[in-house]
Amino acid sequence: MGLSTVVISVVHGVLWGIILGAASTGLTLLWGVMKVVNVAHGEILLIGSYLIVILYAFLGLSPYIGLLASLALGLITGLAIYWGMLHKLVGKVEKVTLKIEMSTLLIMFALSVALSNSYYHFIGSEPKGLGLWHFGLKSSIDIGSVVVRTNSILAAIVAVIIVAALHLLLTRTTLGKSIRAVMQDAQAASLVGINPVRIKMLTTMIAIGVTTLSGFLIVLHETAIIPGTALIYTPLAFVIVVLGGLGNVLGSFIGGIIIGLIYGLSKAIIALTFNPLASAPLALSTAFIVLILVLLFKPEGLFGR
Amino acid sequence: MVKYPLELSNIDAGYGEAQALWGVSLKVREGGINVILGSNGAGKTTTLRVITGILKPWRGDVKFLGENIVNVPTHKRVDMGVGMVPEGRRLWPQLTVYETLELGAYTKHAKEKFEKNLELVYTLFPVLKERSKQLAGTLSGGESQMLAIARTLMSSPRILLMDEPSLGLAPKLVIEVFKVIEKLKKETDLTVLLVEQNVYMALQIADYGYVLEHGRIVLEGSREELKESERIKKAYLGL
Repeated sequence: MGLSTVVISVVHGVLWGIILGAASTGLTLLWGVMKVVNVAHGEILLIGSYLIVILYAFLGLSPYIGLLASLALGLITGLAIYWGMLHKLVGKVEKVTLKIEMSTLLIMFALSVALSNSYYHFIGSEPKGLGLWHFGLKSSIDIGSVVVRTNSILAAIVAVIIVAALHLLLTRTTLGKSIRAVMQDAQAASLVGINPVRIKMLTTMIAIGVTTLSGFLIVLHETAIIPGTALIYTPLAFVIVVLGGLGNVLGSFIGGIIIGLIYGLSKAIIALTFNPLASAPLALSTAFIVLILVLLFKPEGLFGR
Repeated sequence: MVKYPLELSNIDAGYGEAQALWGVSLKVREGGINVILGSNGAGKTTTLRVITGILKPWRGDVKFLGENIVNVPTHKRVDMGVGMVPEGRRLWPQLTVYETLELGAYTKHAKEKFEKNLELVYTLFPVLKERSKQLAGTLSGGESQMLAIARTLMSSPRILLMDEPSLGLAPKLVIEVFKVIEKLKKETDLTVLLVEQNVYMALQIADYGYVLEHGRIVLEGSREELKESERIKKAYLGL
């Protein structure tokens, strides 16, 4: 009985971790490359989630179309966020100072409140989801003794594709190498002919696009979302990004899995030894204790150089 | 007839309120090694920053191949043929040597000459070929300087600006770097503008030079003229 609780929690934890990891890559790009402390990360995730729900519920469009639509909307939103908010702060500066970084935090905080209030006003606080829609023939399958929802499996598959695509983009393409170069030394990049402003704009578009795209993962995994869902995903993304090392996409992915695993394990242990009802919120707290420990003992992240 | 691919005229420039250059005018001679000499804080780096467009001058013109480029942004000047090896190398520590060279050839015209330029830099710096998969941040000081020069050569510049390439290197490596600059002059038709504190070494390879003091050009002349100058002998060579 005890062992199967652990196994179930670990499997679900890892699945969630894969989703969390992918959903945090947009933040690691924006924070690591652009030095933009995106505290609106969770709300931006929900742009994608809500778009998919709205397209499905009102227009009857499949979530796969919603997936592409959320990427497209994210790229456009990224463009608007760059020119409307970020360019003035980080566009032309050679080195982003701590003061500028703090300004980006405040401006993104303002955006998060604006988005959150809009969600409450226009969509409401009731849970929204895809109802009975599910991936494959059945809504859940048994893996050994563990029951897993097929939507979560689809989310994990898409998560892996997102991370792989982003990793290949950053390591194999000229654009990706330019992004890394601008992140490490923007002036040196301009001296080989790279326009740092253009790269920063594209980085913002990609980061926001990947984030809204990840809204697909969230809406599939969480059977229903509310505006407050953002309040879990923003801080978790920060834990994961710090754990994986700023700007490190693969690090974030692995960081996500680690957090998911820690969450699953501590949830099982708390459920078995203390109180099953308290296990979910307390396990979430454990994830943040990890953040504190990492900041104290390995501030550059587990894979930082 | 001597040609001047790069000309500065009456440049005033500075940072914030602090003026660093006063009426600097100079002409860079084609196909030769031009040097700007001067001590720390004389305005040498500022002059190069004005040429690359990192710093916009308060007054004055920068003419490159006959065109006034004062309002052209840095990255477009690279495309026109202005290549700069910045002070302190400014490498991307987490990019490999090969990736750095690839990005060096970022502009369209440089991409077309990628293979040819890669061969040139591997011939000049065989060590970079050996280290092609290594991260730039793991290179030694000398190797880093080689990579910084190689990266700029990959951009296929018409004029190569170098900001204190000998700074922070052991004496043996300083000689090595200067040998490379001489070799470049012999093997390519590149025009070089070298900024140096190491006046003695710079005068070994210079064709023509300017001396900057407190943001003003105080002296100019051919290598022989500079070597014979009392001012240089006293202030810079300790003779």
